[in-house]
Parts: sequence; C-alpha cells; structure tokens
Amino acid sequence: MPNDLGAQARDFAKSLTGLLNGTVAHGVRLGCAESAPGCFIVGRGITKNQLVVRDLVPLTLDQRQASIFLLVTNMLVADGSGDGWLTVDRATYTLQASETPGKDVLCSYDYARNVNNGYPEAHLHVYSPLSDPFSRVMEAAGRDPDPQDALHFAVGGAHNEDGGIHYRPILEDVIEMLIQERLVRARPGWETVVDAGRKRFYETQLRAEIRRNPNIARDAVARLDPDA
Amino acid sequence: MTSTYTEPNEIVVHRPTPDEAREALEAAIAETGFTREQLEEQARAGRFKTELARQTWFCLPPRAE
Repeated sequence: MPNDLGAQARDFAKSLTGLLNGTVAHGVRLGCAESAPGCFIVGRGITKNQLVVRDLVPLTLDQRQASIFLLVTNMLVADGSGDGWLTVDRATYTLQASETPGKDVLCSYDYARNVNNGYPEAHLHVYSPLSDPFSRVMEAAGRDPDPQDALHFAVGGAHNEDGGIHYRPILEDVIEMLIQERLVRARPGWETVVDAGRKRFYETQLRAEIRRNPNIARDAVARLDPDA
Repeated sequence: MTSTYTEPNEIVVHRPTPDEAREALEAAIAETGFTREQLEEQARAGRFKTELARQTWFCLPPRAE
C-alpha cells in the first residue's frame, strides 16, 4: 500500500494542533513544510520561506498574556523501510519564560535519532544557570560553568534497531506535566484530549513494531487464537 | 470563556523549491552566528554554544548522501 508522506505529515501537524488547542493553547496552528525530499518540518510559523521553527506557542487559553511559551519542533523523515512511513527523526519541546527564540529557557525534552554522540536519544535537558549549586557541582566535576551547559537526563522508551526509541515520552506528557504542576491553565476536558493522543501514539508505535517484527507478531497472534 | 475552541483553518503542506529551501535554511542558520558545519559539530558533541543554535539544529534536514 503506497503511502502519501505529505498527507502523513499534514495529519501529524493537525493532530498536534488539536492537542495544543484542546488542552493549553488557543487558536494555534502548526505549519508543515517539506524542507528536503522526504523530510518534513512541523512547528508554529512554518511556511515555504520559514523552515526553522522560531514561533513559540503561548500557553494561554484566551487573550491573556502567557507566562510560559512552548517551542514545538518535529522533523519527520521516511523510516527507512521503503514502505512509505514517516517517523519522527528529531523533536524538541522547549519551555521558555520568554516568547523570544532561545531566551529564558526553563527545560527541554529532546529526541534525536542516530546522532551517536553518546547521550541518550530521548532526554530531558536540565540547564545549569550560573551561580547556583548545580553549577558548583558542574565546576567541581571539571565542567565549564556555562549557562548553556546541561545534563542529558535519559527518559523512558524502548530502543529499536533503527536507532529510534519507541514508547518514549511525547508532547502529551509535557502538557500533562505543565497542567499537573499548575504552571498553566487547562481547558476543560483536557484529559480526554491527552488520552486520545497517547492512544494514537501507542497504536502507531505498536504497528511499527509489528512491521519490524512480523514473525513475532504472527506467533503472538497464533498463540492468542490457534484458528487464526 | 476557556472552553471555546475553534478549529484553525486546514493545514497545508508547503513545498518550497530547492532554491527556496536552501535560502530559507541559510537565513535561519545565519541568525545563529554559526555555520551549518559548526551546528552539526556542536550536535555531535552534545554541546550547543547557544540555545538558538540548538533549536535551529533540530530543524536542519539531513544532508543528501
């Protein structure tokens, strides 16, 4: 079954748009562009002339000024199977206290496949502002007291042979954390939106696992139903 | 009212020409004050010099092989 990569990218952008507007944002629309053959970038403000995400999502439910802003960046590429499926190659969900790109960063959840730099592919960036205990520890360990310095704190997931991590945390988890920590106001019914997003993601991940391991999948199904 | 939500307009997939894409990416990279090679090296090291550099790298498509 041939798959339309552009349609997959558009559906992905649409699902994240729905997630944001259904939980912690208002009137946001993510853009989507094919920045190179078979490579799609998804984020706010993306057009054919803007292929790097610079527009953060204000986390507010109405016209009130937001105090937290979220950078939502996803880069999607063909998964290498040749079957026409997109996969997330890189993603960063960065929380800032400023709408200006790169300013006043609180933390960031990053995912990057196949960088091979020794750091976990799915990790939380814990920043080390100067002159705090964290920086003293970094200095004691011989690390430069650089405000851009950060720990790469691994988060969950299951590694696969293609260099990706299945069942990793997703944007839904970031949003849930913000709401549960009472850092943002949430739209009524946000739990339903988050749950639906998670269910979609887990199903997609399961389907990808089955495609990678058809014999295991067949065996498992056969054990469930000997007549299958 | 916080419960009102209007679905934004339909999302379209932009498809720049190769020249448009190169121009857009070069402009974004220039904003960082680094070259593409420097951004890629910072990514390999797991240490970006600035936050803008890190955020930009996440959007750079893989180089054609």
